[in-house]
Amino acid sequence: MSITNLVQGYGNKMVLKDVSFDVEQGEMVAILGPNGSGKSTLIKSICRIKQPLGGSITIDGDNIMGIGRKVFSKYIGYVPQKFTPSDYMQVFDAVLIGRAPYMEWTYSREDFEMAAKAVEIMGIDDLLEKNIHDLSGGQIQKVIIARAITQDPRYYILDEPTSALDLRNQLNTLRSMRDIIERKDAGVLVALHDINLAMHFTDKVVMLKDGLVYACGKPEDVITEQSIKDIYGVSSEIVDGKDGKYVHICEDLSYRSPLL
Amino acid sequence: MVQYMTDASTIDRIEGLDRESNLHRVYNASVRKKMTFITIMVIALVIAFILSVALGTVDIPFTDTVKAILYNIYPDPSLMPSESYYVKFIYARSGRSFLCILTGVSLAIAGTIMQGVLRNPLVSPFTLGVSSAASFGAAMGIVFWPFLFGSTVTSYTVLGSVMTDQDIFMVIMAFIFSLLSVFFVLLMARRTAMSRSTVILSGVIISYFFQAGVSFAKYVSDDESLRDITNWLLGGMWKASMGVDFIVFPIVAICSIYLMYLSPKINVLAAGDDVAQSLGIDVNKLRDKVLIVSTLMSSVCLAFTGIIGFIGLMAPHICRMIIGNDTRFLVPASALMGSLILLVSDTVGRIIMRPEELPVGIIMYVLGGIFFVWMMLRKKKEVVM
Repeated sequence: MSITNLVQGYGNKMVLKDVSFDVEQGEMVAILGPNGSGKSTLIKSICRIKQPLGGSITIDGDNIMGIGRKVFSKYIGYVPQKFTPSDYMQVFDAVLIGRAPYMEWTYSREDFEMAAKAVEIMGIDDLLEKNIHDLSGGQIQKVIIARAITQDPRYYILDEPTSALDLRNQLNTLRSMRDIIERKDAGVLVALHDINLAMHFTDKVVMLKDGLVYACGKPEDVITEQSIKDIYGVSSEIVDGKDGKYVHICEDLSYRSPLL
Repeated sequence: MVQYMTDASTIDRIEGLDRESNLHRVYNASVRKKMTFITIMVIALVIAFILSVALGTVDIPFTDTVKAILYNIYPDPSLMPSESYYVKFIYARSGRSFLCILTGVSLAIAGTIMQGVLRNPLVSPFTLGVSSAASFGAAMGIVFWPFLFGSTVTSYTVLGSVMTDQDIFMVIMAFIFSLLSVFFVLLMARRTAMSRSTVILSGVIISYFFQAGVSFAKYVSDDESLRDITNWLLGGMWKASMGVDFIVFPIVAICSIYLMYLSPKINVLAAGDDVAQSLGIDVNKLRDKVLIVSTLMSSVCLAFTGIIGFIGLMAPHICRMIIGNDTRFLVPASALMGSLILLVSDTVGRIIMRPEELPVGIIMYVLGGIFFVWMMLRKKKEVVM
């Protein structure tokens, strides 16, 4: 998937000025950037939740911005940051919703098989009959990723999937995305806040600053003390750990606002 | 690099899935439960219908009622009840019972659909202001008819019952003003930042405006129009006849079938607008379409019955609690539940103080009030749709 010269804005304010990068199949790409840098806008533009003002998105050379919504949904699956399901919705219903682009009135055998695979991959078999409102944040996250797998798109686009999760569930979520990449030869684009997660789980990092791509490349090349200083304004140190490099924040944490 | 691969056994297990997965079994079991519920509701509605035509100022024995119903459908001498006038009685009462069913169906389906597309369990034709808008339209129809068309009223006979062109004018006016109220709701729904309670509040505000209009219509109307308006606002089945059913039925039937057809798409909206959009649904277009169709079907019924509140709130809510959120099953289940509640309420209203009758609108206000309080009390957390 190639994103070329993507432009997006609200009213007079341009949020994405000129964004271009590629996501290959079998690859997990992270979008990093401070609040307001355009991460969510970028994701919503790629998923056509907000139609881009300019630029193109192509898959295998075909521009997918103009194709019908139903066909589009077979290319791109969207995993939102938050999921506020309806009352009385059970997990199996929530997972089967992913088959919407394929079904007419009833679910086919293939629909059930896809959904069953997704349930198996995410390990939520024992939750199927539960009401979504009775689940924990981590479990809900599993359900919405299962829904995206059920949709069976070629690319998964995730908007800060780890932001509301505890440490264990953050790791589990990204592990399952890696698993999907391996099994389905899919591509994953994920907006992240945690630089260390991006460093360890992704194949490529796109750093956004003020609606432009600040840097794009392999995590260890892109995530540097200088780039972190430039885009977040935070001093850091890259240290070697037993599994690779880690980002260590070196800001003076004892600082207090003079007003307090 | 952190170890991120799942162990091989997981993958092996996936490849070796049974032909019928656990998910498929759970789904089938839930469908069976839903179908059982719908079947029970059909049986309950048939019984309620027979009781509603059997009971009244003159009670007709059960077997004679069944015979008379069948005789009306297929006039075979063997089906003639013990008293021949029962046949006419049943025909006349059926008109009213059918209108109860049609109104229940349309309000309940409209409520289900509105709740689905606005993701808010407290919306219904009543709480969104459609009812008050329809009443304003109808009141305008009653008051301004003489100014617009003079005092002549042409009568038509439809299926043995008399209807006037003023009635038709009222229906059209009720629909036009209902659409106006839904237009406001659509505007609100487009503004995604608007919270659930704000939507309800806006419905209340819209209702106030239209109530002011109705009060004005009452103020300027003559004695006869005033009586018509007051009766209409009470909400009741006085106007019911086979002729009215003949007008209402095709509209309710077509709208219901259309909304049933769209229900898989409405299901997707339960996952949120953004997700629905990414799953290939044109959210705004779908919402506009179904809100207009739901308004049409509810306002056509309201134009004949007057204000009947809370059906569109109660029926879908009770059904959701029992069979869950799948709109494909929820639409028929709520339709049955809505018509059952209305039919039973109307029958009770007719026999509770015989030979006088209590307008069903009043009964619905009492039931609805109790239901609302119960809903508020049982929800520990915020109501989420």
